[in-house]
Amino acid sequence: MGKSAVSAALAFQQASLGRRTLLVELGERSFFQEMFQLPKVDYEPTYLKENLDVSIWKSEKCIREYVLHYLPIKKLYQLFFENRVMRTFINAAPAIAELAILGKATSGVRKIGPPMDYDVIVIDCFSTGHFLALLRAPKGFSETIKSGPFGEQTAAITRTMLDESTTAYVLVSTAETLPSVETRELFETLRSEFGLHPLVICNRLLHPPQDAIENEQSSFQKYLKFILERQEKYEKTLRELSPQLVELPLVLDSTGGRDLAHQLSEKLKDQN
Amino acid sequence: MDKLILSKKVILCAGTGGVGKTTISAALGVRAAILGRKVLVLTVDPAQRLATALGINRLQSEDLLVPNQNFPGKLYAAVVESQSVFDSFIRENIKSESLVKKILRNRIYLRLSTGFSGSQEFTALERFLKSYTSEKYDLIILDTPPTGHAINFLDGAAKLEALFQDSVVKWFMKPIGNQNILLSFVSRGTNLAFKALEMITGAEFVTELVEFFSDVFGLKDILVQRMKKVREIFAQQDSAFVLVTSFDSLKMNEAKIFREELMSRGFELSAVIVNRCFPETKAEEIPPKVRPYYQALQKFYQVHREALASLKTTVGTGVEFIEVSDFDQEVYDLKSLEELSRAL
Repeated sequence: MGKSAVSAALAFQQASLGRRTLLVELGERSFFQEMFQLPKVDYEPTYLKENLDVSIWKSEKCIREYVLHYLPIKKLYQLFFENRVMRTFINAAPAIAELAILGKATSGVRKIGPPMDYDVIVIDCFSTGHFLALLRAPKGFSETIKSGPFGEQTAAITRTMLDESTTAYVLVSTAETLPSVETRELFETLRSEFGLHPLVICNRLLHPPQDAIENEQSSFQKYLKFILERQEKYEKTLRELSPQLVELPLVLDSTGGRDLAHQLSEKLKDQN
Repeated sequence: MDKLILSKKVILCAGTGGVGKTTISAALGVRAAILGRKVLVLTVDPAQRLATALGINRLQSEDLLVPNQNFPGKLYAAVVESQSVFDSFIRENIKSESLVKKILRNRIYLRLSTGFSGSQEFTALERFLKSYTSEKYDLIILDTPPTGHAINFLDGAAKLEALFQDSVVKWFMKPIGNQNILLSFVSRGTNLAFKALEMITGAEFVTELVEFFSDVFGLKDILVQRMKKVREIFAQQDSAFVLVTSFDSLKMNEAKIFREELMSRGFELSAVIVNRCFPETKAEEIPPKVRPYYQALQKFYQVHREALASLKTTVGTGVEFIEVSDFDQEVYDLKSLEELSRAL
């Protein structure tokens, strides 16, 4: 879908408005390091351009920071992480990683934990299934653990996440069969289960010259015709879902990751 | 792919998310049925994309004979429902009915069966093993769980195994006849670590955790054995690993790593399916008015074309490469899957 490139474009756009922006990727391996040709992308923010830093939030780092918040006594904290059993449990435990990530993402708004000096955080999230697991984590936890410090924090995280005046959700799709079906399902789940109203972006649209498929004879024209018809059909599906559908082209002439993010961010600006 | 389809009992389709792995698995299934095999396509995707591709709205967790088919063979499909697979695993391996009931109600268990990392991988492999040992099928095509990295699905279950290790289970276990959990631990370090856990999660959670691990004690051996059996099947001659990747240089670089990781585990890569390739033609066949646009697209895809060439060189002989054009991708029913399967 080009989810990472679109996340980067959103971050570029926010930064160009003069907002201090942090672009975050989740997972264990950095994509942005390669995309932006940076020497390293790590948990601590790396400078990317004016007003824009980039970070990768690996779950273990998030968990450590999160646990440290509850166990300010260093010895107790060390004991916790140096215990092999505890480490095994934490690595596999339900939703702890997800909760720690969300805790980190909402810590600025909740004014908790290490300060993060940013006006906006753009997170390149997981794809559908894992993304839903991320959103469901606090809910599942607050049902399992109702009281105690953890329970209270979980409730606060949920409130922040679901407050659309602070948190916006963006779904990135392409105008193809399965991505648009998946986007529709995800859109509807977010609405019914969480009461959210995500913005939908249709990425990688082809814009050939107007008369490209008139009197189509060559196999390339037939291919284009097929792509354009499919594009029109599924763009319509996505627009039915979200009338404010944002359209982004397949950028054919970018000179690299930065240029791609910049070009896409200009298109985002055009569509406000 | 026909040779693989006809000679193998198991085909594992691996790949990262978003490469069309599920659709390709379904198309392979269709191809197998066309070639006369009794085939089951097992998918783990919770969005039920396979259901969409097969033109049926809903798949039960049981194997389902795909409707409206007219193949020499037979095509079955199923979605791995993590929760129900886990539930049957508990039911089949714990004798006491009251204990089964207790576990199925435990809130840690309810989170474990869907939320623990490794659960999805475990349930996919457990579900596969059941269908495999039923000997009902000539061929099973397993669409592996989507992971960030293609190889992770093999390691996912190992995480769950580690969690069920005796040392871990015993650590959390409630000593029989002793209701005061925390006081019963001899080690002071362990006791403190437990207190730390309690500080973070609350006493209620720790109590349920201890109960859960006491109840599932003994399941570990069965779990480890079953996963060992799965790995043995995968290493056999009649199992084949197929990597599905998209026409994207980054994904193709991952393919190289995937092959190395497979080999280090004693498995062999049989084929690479490169999905959604840009169909190249001769520029002179294209009318002049569209030629610049074709050339712009061709240039755009050049880097991916080069990555594919490099992948082929690295992988060398013995691995089949199949390029599927983006042209064949409009999959919405069985007939369109049949068309896609021709490309395989």
